[in-house]
Amino acid sequence: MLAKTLFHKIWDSHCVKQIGDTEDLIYIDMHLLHEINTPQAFDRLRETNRTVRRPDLTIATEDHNTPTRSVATLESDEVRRRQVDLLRRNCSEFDIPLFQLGEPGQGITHVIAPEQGLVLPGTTLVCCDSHTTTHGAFAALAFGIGTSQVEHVLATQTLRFQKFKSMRVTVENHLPEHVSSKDLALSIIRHLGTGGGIGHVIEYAGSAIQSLSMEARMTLCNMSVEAGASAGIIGVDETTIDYLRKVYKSNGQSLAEEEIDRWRTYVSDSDAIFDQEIVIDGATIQESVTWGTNPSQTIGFHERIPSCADYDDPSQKQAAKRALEYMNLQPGQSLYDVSINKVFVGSCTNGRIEDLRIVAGILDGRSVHPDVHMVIVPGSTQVRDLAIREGLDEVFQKAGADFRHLPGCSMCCGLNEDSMRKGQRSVSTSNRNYEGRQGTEAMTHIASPSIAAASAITGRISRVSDL
Amino acid sequence: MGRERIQGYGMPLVQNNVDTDQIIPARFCYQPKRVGHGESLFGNWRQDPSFVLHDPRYSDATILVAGREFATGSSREYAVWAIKDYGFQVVIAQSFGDIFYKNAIINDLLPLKTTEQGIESLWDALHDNPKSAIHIDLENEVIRFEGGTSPAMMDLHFKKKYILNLDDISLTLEDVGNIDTYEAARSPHLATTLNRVEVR
Repeated sequence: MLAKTLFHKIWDSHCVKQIGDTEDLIYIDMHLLHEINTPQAFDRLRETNRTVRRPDLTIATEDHNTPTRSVATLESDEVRRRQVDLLRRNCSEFDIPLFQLGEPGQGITHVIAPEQGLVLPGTTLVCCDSHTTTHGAFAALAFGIGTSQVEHVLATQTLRFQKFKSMRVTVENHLPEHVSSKDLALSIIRHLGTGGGIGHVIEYAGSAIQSLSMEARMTLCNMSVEAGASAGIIGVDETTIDYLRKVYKSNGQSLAEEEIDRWRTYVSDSDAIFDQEIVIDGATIQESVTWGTNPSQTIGFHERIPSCADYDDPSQKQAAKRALEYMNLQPGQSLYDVSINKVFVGSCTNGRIEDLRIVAGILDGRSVHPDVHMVIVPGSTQVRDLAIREGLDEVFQKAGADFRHLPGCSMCCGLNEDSMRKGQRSVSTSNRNYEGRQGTEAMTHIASPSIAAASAITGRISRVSDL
Repeated sequence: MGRERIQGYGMPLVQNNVDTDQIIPARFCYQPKRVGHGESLFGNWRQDPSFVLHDPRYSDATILVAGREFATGSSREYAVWAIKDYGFQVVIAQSFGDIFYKNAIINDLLPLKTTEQGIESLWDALHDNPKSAIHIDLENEVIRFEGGTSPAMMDLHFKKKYILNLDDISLTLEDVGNIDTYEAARSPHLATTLNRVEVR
């Protein structure tokens, strides 16, 4: 039998029909919805007298525009309220299960789907959100789609797609102490550029990947789209299986051993051939922070803010010039020279319990700098409840951090009342530092939870080892 | 003229890596309709009076000429709707974000790839003579403009879909029998959302 990559195994087993020479009709095992990118899809379903084929393979949550302090805030904002109401009405009309703001289980799509046991090895999953790549951590083929494709999946439970290309990023050895999968992701994006992964599914492999927790793997796969990739994916190993066993157990679901045996087959064959291969020495990865306005504009703490002259490529020169202006930075500055007034811990990238534990571990016995407002938003009610049970909320409170009780995307996409004001500068554990992303003319530095916590304490971009 | 030949004036967006957050910032994505987003196109950048969108020389443009990695980032289909609503029928770029590319095809906005040299020549031509028409010939896969030509690159099946203006969902529903067969054979162990759990 022909050796296959993990991606090809999933693709081939979900091919309903080959269409012509290039396109395949692919079955979708799980479809996640949220309030922003879906109303037009439901409208068109009604206009065309179509219905939702498999509401039992569909789930919705309210996350993008929702408040993080109190449900009442939602009532007072007409535009946000209308978006949420439309989702509620559409889910009710088409019998789609929905997690409403504040209900047990609600949270960011990419945080709650794994908690609910909806992401399994060897399956396909889509959502109207580019960070759907997160779920590749479970050896699932997961990718973001547009609203018209949402409509296509609702009506047919399939998508028409051209087969992606495959890329393997092998990370050998182990990451140094304090270096997280966020740092690894930023380093890979810096290497590939924001377009290096276009059209590809990136499989992460190697000893440094195998030693990552599931949460850390989700962070890495989440950021794949920032390198332009269609999806990120990691083969099944004991870490995957242990995590899923726990999910099944805590959800009171039974799990057949044959099922686990089947999951184990979702790895790339040893002699499978990838369209592109990259090998990285994990031991060389350093703690990293973005300085510019796209996630590939990243430096380590031993480096200086670059100048346009540091780039050979004219377009990178131009991008650097624009980024330096927008970020109000001078070439040659050190990260330590950069004062901040906001810190955001949360998002589908780093809003999980492991992230909150790391942050609490650093804040414990320390105080947030008086010039800094540190906002911590749990990715789901489960993350929040665990954090409270473990006493993390008290640590946050004592340190002077602002721990919110309603989960959601919050400051990552700047759609709720937490968005930043003009001229404010953040260290953020989210995924995008685009111009205006967290608020008009606000400046964002993307980093790991530990850098975010250390920076909150010093008021400057800092590492834990600098405290 | 059939859909394989398109001509119009161009607008040069002399920049690479224009992400969908720039094409339409998230706070402008609040209208729950597919139309009515033209005024939100480049919502932040257009605050600057010198932004190319305000240049009267390009006011009749229907073809946007951008650099490489156009529209990477967020999956928002609003990016396509805003570009279309503003009056563009075509975006020419060296490369596109995956999700945008697919969204564009579905919404009948033609995303056309060409070479880096082609983009630069187009930018130069539009700079020197804003009212020089761009002719796109999908059949012969070529873009013709004042002082040059450049390849019009498009995957064959996307090209066919665009020229014939095919609707994906209608096509897929013709294969509903295949979907039924596939579904009947799915493993009973796969997850469903009916028994959602009260996560503790």
